[in-house]
Amino acid sequence: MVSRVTGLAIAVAVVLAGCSPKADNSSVKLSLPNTSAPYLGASGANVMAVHIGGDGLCGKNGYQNEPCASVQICVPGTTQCQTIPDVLIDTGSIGLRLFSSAVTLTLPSRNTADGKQLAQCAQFGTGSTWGSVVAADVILGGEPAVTSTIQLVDKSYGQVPQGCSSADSDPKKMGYNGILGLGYFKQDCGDVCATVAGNGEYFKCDSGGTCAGAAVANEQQVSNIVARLPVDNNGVLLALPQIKTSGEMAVQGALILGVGTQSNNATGGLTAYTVDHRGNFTTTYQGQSYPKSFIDSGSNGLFFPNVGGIPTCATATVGAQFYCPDELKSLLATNIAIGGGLQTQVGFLVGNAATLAATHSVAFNDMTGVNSDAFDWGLPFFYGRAVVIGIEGRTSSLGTGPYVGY
Amino acid sequence: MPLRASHFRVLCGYIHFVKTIYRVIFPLHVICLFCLALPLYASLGGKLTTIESDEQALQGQMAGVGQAKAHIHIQKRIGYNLHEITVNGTQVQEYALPTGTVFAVAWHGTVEPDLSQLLGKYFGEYEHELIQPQRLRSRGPRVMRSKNMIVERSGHMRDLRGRAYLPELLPPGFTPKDIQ
Repeated sequence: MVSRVTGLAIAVAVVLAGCSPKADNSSVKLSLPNTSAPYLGASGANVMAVHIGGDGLCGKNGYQNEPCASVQICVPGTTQCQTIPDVLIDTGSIGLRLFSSAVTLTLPSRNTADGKQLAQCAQFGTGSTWGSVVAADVILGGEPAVTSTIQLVDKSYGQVPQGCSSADSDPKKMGYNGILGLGYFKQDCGDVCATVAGNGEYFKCDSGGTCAGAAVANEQQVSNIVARLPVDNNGVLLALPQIKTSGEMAVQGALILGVGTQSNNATGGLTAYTVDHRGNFTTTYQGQSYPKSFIDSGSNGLFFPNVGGIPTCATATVGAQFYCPDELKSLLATNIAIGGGLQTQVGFLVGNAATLAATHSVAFNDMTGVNSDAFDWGLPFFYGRAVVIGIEGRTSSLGTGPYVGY
Repeated sequence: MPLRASHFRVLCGYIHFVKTIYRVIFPLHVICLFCLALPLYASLGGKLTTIESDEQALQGQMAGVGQAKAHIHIQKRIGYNLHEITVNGTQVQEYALPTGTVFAVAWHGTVEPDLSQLLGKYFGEYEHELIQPQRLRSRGPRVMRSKNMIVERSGHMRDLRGRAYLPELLPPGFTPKDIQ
């Protein structure tokens, strides 16, 4: 009888365990990643200081989980240079975009063969930037200057196309002077924009400000600065320290240029996961598969499908875009590389976004929200990790890009 | 009235007719940019016939020289019809009621289709929501609820995705998860 009762109890317990969500408060024992430590003190010409928080435009005057750094630009071939602080470090886009209002230099425009000025309506996952396309010598850290095509963001430039009607307005409102895109690809658009005039991204504008769609050769498109470096050109490594779950006011990290190219960017403990031609891989979560998932330091939260019934935040607080569970949750998902099936389980935390937003901290490893079609592994994923972005066609000690390493 | 094969023959014939007219009238459309500014019918909330204008708009927008062909795929599902238009890697899906009214659209591509065409008369609602201040800034995906529509944007540069639907028009048994 006793054994029957025990057996029944075990059966009930097993059923209950199977029915209950995998994450409850008792399982908040996630060992937070800490692979970034060896890289945080890195020094050298290939290192850029990254900060989250602080008193600048990014930080107090910006928004939560906003990693920024300074870049230097010069008029091509000259020593007329300017340092631009508070530039968003974004592994989810490609190329350098600076608000024209933050740039004092006069940079030469990129023109079409018929003498019209190139402009771009650059589309991000959310948001867009509009403005002319120019040439600049760009200096990252202590690396040599490389001449590149960049975008001067200016909503008052020419005739704004419909796709950019709500484009980024000004540094103060956006919380950054520009965006440094460090994604997997050498150009921001690629072949489609090289062959299709109505691509919606590139335009040619006449002196009267009238703009029409334009096909732009790959080498004329806004380009990945890192891919143009003479040596450290196969990718980047972004290292951020692990932080307290309650959040922190300021965090210092390192963006190291090159992968396995110097003594400070060896990849010993890291693994590469190949991504597809769009920069995606598959994440599985709660029995569902999301093949359009991606890693993106420019996303300020970890956004994922709400299949587990996590409460979203009230409209009166921070809105249903974010999760607001009563207690901190610890969840698990699995990331699967493209081809070959290499996979790894990734733990992550879900805090109450309304509670987080009410603090004075700006760096959070548990700020999460809703995305219906994929995992967007935003900045919370980066805390405690060294994350490598391997550029397409370039080889490193981790393999040949495009891949993400961590 | 359920759609039958004969209706599809009529529909396909119509699409072919419209495309032929289009090619005759605008033989230079692959390089003719003013075509994009032609007044076209709304899509989301519009009628089936607007799907053809969407196809032409996308084709006009996305055609590269010498590779102008749009691929259209029509599937009949229970309670609705799904139209897929693909040109040069940008895909648009339109979900239409048997009456022809488009109740949902989705897009996916390296570059974005012209959303003013795709969202039609609801584009203004979308633009309005995009610029609303957020209490907690979300840089990443966005879910926007306007008066009549829910719009979701996701993805990243080189992989731009989104969908929009009219909750009050969803057919019985259809959930937003069915919009892929």
